[in-house]
Amino acid sequence: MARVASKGLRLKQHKSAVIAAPAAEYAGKVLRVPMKEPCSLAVTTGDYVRKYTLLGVCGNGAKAFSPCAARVGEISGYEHPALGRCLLVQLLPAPLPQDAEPAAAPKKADLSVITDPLDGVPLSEKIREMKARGVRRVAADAVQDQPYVCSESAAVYNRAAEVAAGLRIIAGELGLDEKDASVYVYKSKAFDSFVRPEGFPLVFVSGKYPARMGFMEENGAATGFVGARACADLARYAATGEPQISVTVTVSGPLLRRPANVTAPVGTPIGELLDLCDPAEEPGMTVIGGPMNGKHAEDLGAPLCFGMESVLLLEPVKVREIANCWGCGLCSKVCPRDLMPLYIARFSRHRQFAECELFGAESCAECGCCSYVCGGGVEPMMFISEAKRAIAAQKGGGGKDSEARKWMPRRGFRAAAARKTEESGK
Amino acid sequence: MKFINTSPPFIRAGAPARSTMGKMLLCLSAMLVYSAALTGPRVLVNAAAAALTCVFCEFLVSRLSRLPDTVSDLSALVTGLVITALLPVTAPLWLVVLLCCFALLAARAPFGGLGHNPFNPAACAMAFGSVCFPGHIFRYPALPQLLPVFGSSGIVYGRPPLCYLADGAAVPYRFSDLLLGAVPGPAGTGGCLILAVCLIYLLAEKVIRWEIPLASCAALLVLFILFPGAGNGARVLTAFQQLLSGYFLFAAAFMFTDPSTSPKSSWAAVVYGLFCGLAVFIIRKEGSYRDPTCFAVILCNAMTPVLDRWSAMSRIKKAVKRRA
Repeated sequence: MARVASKGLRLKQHKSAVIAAPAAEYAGKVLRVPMKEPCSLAVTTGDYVRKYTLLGVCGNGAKAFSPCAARVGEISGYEHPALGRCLLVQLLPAPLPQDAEPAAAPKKADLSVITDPLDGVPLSEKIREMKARGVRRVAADAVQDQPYVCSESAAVYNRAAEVAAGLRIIAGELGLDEKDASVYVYKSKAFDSFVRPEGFPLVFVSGKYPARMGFMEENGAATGFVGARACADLARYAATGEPQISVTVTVSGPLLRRPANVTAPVGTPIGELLDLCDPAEEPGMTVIGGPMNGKHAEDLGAPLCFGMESVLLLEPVKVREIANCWGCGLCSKVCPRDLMPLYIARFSRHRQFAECELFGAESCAECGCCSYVCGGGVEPMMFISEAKRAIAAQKGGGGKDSEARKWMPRRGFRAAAARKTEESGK
Repeated sequence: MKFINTSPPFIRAGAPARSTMGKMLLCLSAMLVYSAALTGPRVLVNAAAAALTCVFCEFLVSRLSRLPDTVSDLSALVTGLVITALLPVTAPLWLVVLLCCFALLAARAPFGGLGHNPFNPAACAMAFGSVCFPGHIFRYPALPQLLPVFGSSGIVYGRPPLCYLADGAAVPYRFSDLLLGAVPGPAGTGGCLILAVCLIYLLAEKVIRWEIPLASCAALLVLFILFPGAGNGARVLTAFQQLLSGYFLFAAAFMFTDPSTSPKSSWAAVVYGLFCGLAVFIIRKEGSYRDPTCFAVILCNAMTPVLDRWSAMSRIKKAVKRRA
């Protein structure tokens, strides 16, 4: 067992019921398949597409396939809470006289067809990046240390054989031995009876939140990580030739009466997923990603996409102004980076960013521990993030995806960006 | 202003200031009730006057200024009860009311309210009282005696142990009386045994840091063992008498440890605690006031931002080294 993070939070996980149940299947109605811009489309409005028809290729090489036989409706721009700026291809279900048969199973899996649902990067891209990095180990990543979120761990639990087969393919691609591959799962009480993927060691990661951060910092350099869901999807693709057209996400939260892991086609509105899990009447807040560092989704029509771990319906939290900080210092007790969030937040509030830098604002991991424990109900993390961005802007960097955030699962399209820089360098 | 958050984290578990202050209030009430058992209900009248004044002042401040409403977080009540505990039971009501007003209106509100005051408001009020009304502040009734609820007729005053210690004379009180608080002294700070129970409760509930009381008591004891006053008796006994007299122990539990005016990191808290002990030692040895702990609190509060800054910088240096 790998144990990390001495500081941080002991969070109640709320996963036991959800993790063991097999994922519920949901066939969407009208789909709007999102493609991160810049992307090249293979279809136009009015086209009829079969199931598994290629709809387009995103900038990072991720391919989008049609999840059903349909007529292509409107194609529009959209600001997706998880993806950012993207194009939505509307698919109106239209019965085709001759529905397409699935493509014949290929001899060797084409890795560009599978996108890792953890971060939205296609496997081909990931393998290329791992080779360039010279990784010595490969691992299926199910280190989900935030409450409710268990889509990857559930894949290890329910699809152990597929995860193992997928991991074997990836290890083969990297030229690594089977003994260099392992499966990492965040340890929770519910996981004692974990089904072990055959032939691979199942390593439990434990410790306080953000255990993932400490774990990635220790192992991220020498190990290549691929989400467990991606491994399972890859194995299924290799066996049946079905490209990836659906994503399994955790749909959970205190306001859902029947939380579950749901497998739904890409492009399903998240509102439909919530309806499937019997939401309570009280007003809630929809969050894409983990409750500690996810994103608020105002639009329930936001479509499901790769790069999503969960859709949560949480109770709204009231926050108060920074003036309500009464200096109890709890935030600096829990900060995994050993910072003093209350001082940084106060300086940031008064736009004294030089002071923030002095207090180490740049190394904030944006894990949210400080805001979680705050007795005054204020949001130190929001102000620290602002200070970080301001400091980065002063230094002329991008700021948003600094070193400190590398451990986060949804880190967008850095691999693709790196490749582009490399290519332009050549 | 309250609004619903749209930035992460979307779950919260912060214990509000009210729960922390509630625990402090519980301990302070226990101290005052113990004092009432020794001297009669007069101290409770003082406490009621202090509480009413503080709540009224806090209400006034939150209405007149744009500061967030802090009446409900009970911090004003804590300040009021601390002031009651530090004053002699015989202190006139006008003095109680005046000091409470000073604490909230002069030492806290101008800086931005709870958590933004650089100095402990109760310590400021006591310092103000010590300078302006030493006759009232340092005149303690002899114990045990049942005091009249109002007025001062028939009250017998006694000499507190700190006076004997300062003069280099032997303390005429038994050690057990010092422990039980049955000697002339501030109203709610005498019962060292009950204070110890409160301290353990506050530490167990993680309301205060353990480093500060431990370091300050250790520093005071060691300093008085090393440098006892001229003419005093056995070094160790004198050091313990110094520790148990006056309101040093009370301050170690309730004032040095005030979360908003004490350092936030462990080693800074240890340095702060040591400095608290040192400050009390120096002022008791060389100063002219009989119980100068409130001045020591203010002195040490002034160090807090510097200590925090140093510890933040040392943490960053460590992190940079670790990465390199």
